[in-house]
Amino acid sequence: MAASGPSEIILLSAGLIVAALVSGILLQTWDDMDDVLDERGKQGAEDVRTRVSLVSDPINIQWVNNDNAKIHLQNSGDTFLDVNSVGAVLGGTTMTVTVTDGVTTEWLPGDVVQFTLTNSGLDSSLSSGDNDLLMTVSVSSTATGYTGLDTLREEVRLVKP
Amino acid sequence: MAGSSIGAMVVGTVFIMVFGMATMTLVESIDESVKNSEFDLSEPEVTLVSVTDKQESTGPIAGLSFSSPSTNSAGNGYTSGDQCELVSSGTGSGASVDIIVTAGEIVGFGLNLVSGNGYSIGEIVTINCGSNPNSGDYSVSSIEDQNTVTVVNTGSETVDLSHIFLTLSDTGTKAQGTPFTPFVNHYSGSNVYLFPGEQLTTDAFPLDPATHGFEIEDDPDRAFLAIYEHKDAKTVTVT
Repeated sequence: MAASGPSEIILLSAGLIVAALVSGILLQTWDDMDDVLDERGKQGAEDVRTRVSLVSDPINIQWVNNDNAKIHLQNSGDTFLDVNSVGAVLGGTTMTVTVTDGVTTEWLPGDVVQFTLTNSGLDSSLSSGDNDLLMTVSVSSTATGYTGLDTLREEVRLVKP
Repeated sequence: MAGSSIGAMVVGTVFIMVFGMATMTLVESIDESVKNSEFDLSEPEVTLVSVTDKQESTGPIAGLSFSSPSTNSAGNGYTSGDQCELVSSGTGSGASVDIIVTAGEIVGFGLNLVSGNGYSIGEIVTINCGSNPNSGDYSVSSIEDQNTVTVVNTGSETVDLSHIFLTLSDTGTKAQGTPFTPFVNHYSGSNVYLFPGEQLTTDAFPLDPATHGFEIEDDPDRAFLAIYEHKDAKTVTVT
């Protein structure tokens, strides 16, 4: 009994140390997984809450001054949208997007903002009268520190005078 | 031996508790992620019942007539070129016109007619300016058409009336107006929300370039309603 005492204590101590090390590694891994899930969850939540909708009548969108069209977009989501990070592609052509009034900075849920989509390069590919095109508009939100994204795809009829 | 076994049991129990708590936290995070992914945005559905463009019993003045002395009084004390308020004997307000005067008496009116609203055809409106105001008058010969919009909530969600947008357009000229909120701009009732199944009509309203993108005398023939992802369109009934 007395002879086996020290070796048992050594074995027990060694076992505890190994268990502590393994446990530490496992707990750290679980903690990392927890953080990733938390981040993904918040990012996903912001994505789900980000949405934009077209308010303008898609059948009669005027092509103005041979280089631009104006559209009204509604923040139909549940979070603030960034008016300065709106992107648009019209008939495969990337447009420069600006807030038409030049002063709107806040885009709250439910609010409608008019944007001007400009690119003189599109003019040559449009014919006089009706032009049916696919319009893609992307918006992003930054209200909660996480960036939510949404893309609107809508067929529109561009009317060139 | 007994002491080391007890120690091992205590340490083992502590490990189990720590692992249990970590597992609980992980499960909660997974649960929260699932809840976030199941979040549904509002999907309101509002349908256009009718959009009319017609002459109501009262409206903005479209035309005046002056027939003195058979119907109208020339009055006295007026100055030619003055823009004078037209005072209604009924519910009208806001109208004015520039007057043509000879020797203080009204002999006609100019082209700068501000239409106002609430006037009826045949109504006598007195001319409120000059040194003897309201001594002269005109007759309202015609009034402008006005629009009404009727919608019904066909969805299962209650709708904030301020989120309903309408855009008028003229399919002939391809002109598209400006989106406006019919139940904010042209609704005098107390309702703030449109409940499922509820139907609501705006007040009669004249077109205004600043609000609708069309002049008062225009006749846009298409109405496009947008609320979030839901759209609806209807032909305007022009009579």
